[in-house]
Amino acid sequence: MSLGRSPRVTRRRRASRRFPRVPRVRTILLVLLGFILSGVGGALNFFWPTITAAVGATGHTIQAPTPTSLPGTPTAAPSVAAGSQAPFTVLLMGSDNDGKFTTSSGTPYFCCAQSLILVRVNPTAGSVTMLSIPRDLWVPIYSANGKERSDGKVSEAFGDAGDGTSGADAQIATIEQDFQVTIDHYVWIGLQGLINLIDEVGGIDIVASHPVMDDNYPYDVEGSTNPNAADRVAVLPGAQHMDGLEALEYVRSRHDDISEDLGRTVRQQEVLVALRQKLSQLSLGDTNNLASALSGEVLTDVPLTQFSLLLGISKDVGSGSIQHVYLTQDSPGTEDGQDVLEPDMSAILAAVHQYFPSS
Amino acid sequence: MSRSRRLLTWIVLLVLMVAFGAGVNRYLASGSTVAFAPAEKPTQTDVKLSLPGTVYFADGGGLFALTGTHITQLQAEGQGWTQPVLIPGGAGLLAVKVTANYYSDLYEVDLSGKVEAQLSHDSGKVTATELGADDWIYYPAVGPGNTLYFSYDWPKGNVDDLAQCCYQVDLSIWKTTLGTDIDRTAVEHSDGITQESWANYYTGGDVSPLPLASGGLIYVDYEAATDNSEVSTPVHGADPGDEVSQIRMDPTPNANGTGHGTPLTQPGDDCAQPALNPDETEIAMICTPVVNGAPSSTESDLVVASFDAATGTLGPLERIVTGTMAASPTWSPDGTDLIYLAPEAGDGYFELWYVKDATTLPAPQARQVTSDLDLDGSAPVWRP
Repeated sequence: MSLGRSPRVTRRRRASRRFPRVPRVRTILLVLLGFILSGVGGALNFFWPTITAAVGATGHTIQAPTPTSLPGTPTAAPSVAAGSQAPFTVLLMGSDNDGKFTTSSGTPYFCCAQSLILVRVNPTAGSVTMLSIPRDLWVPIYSANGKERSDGKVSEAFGDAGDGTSGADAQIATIEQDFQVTIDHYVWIGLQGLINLIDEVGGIDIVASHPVMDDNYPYDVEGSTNPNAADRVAVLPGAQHMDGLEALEYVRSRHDDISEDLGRTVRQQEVLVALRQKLSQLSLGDTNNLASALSGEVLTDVPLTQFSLLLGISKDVGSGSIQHVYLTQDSPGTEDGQDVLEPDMSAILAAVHQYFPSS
Repeated sequence: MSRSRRLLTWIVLLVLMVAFGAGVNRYLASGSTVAFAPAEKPTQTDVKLSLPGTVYFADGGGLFALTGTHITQLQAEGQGWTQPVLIPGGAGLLAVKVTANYYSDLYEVDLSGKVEAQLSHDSGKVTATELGADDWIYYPAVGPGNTLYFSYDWPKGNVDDLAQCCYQVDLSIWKTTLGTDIDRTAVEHSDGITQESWANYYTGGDVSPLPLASGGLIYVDYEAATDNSEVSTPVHGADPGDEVSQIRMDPTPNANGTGHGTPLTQPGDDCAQPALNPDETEIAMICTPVVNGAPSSTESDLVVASFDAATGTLGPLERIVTGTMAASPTWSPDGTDLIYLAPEAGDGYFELWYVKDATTLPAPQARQVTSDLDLDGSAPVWRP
């Protein structure tokens, strides 16, 4: 083996003297950085529609004040952030959002929440409890600032009471005060958003427990502008693969249900479980289409950064670990000329606090 | 390295970097979940298993015939066709045509799909404020002597009071002779049409009539799972808003004016969608399993039981397909094999499945017949 310098090395050194080089390590780092930046740029370009949609939909702050504790009720553990291992409570709200109703002065308003489901998630135990709140429950309604307004149907808190405190915050305040629970997070979805979401995942599969028939179903989506228009619905019993509109009809119809609104809340939870099953198959490539489907139809206070953690929890929870709870401690009544459900609040609070810590 | 070579190297690296970024972008885009892909057209899909005879089925509002591994379109998709049934003798089919959110009508079509006759006339009556004037007709079935049974949403409550219209819309089972014109007026006045079952109010009503050779009738009714004011005891573990189904047999329908008959299954079994084999000795049905102590909302079992039509008794329920969402069983013409619908893994669309020797226990493993379709929930028809 020769220990002498080869002519090739000599030429390289001469060349280096003429054109000063970037040191080799720096060159490698520079190239690597270039590739990383390029990859991040490619990913950013792909996710840009999702990011812009998510920035508008997520991270909203709950304005409702902490509920006042009832005398004698135990105090709950402090509220926790989603994504930690501590249990937390989410309020799921569904409603129309196209402003089809107007006040006497012509201002659009949203009449009410169509669906109210409290969800308690225990990441450590891998369990979820879903509690449906009947929308016709007659309770004190609170403004977003925690001020009691009047009695009304619990779902009406979402609507405009003329004091400028409509929407999710007033609904959260009302449920927190009436049920003495702390809501850590909320997710609101519009009716059209639910249709879009289910269509985007290719529909959902459920077993319809009975014929759902309705000759007076509200025809107020898919471009309808008449809030009083009606439609006929017939969802036949048995296994069904439903698109978004069919699923919405299935969860909204209540006129021919022997259990009335309660039957509808059961169907709502069925559809949520089926939807979760479909969403658990999501991949990164689906996010843009989902974001497009939900654009303007979803609002939540959950920060974008915690969504992956929530999705991870959702995937870890098996169907058998989801507990369904329905409030039946009420009786039919009439208030202000409306058919309502008169609550037995002490029985309801006892039932709620079995699963949701009191505030 | 010369300056030009170094420059060239950097240019190549830059191109590679840009290509890498584009590749990352395309890789992410290609990750869109196949499970959410739209279903294929029946005439463009591959059939995995050849069945003897011809199977008629509805898909996407169209009617199709499967012979061997070849699918023929009888009626175009998007027209609301569903629930095909065979006319005894095999001369043709009856099928329901649904105009979504308005009404449905019953048609007779020949085996090539040509419409021979419109048997009911519920179409075209509706205005936006008179929805109660329209009707649903579903679940046609033809029995001995060309007797036609069907479910019809009459009587319904408050139809004359538009302010309250129409909260009670329950299907009851009616009977006429095949060929009789069916419309609201004829049903309301029992003009050649008679009511065979009386639905439990606000349950959705009575469905799936199965005529027996004796003149009796098997059908399905619904009741509140947790309400003992109906006809049974509460179902353990059911959610308070649940309803359950019960398969019933009425040996002399319309004789007592109540139409309840006697139960073949218990409310806790939550069985529906019965299919009777040709010699009336076996019933295939769909029953809801109990999962974690409560009736499942995401599973339905394919169940087979022996049946004695003379005494109206059902043998033990044998669950031959479990852990899926089985639906709409149909016996083979010789009464030994079954086809049924169940979701395909992944996309969840309903496909046709086959169980050979379904009355042999344990039943052989089910085999998938079609893939990438989106069959509607109605039972297929199997003709020799």
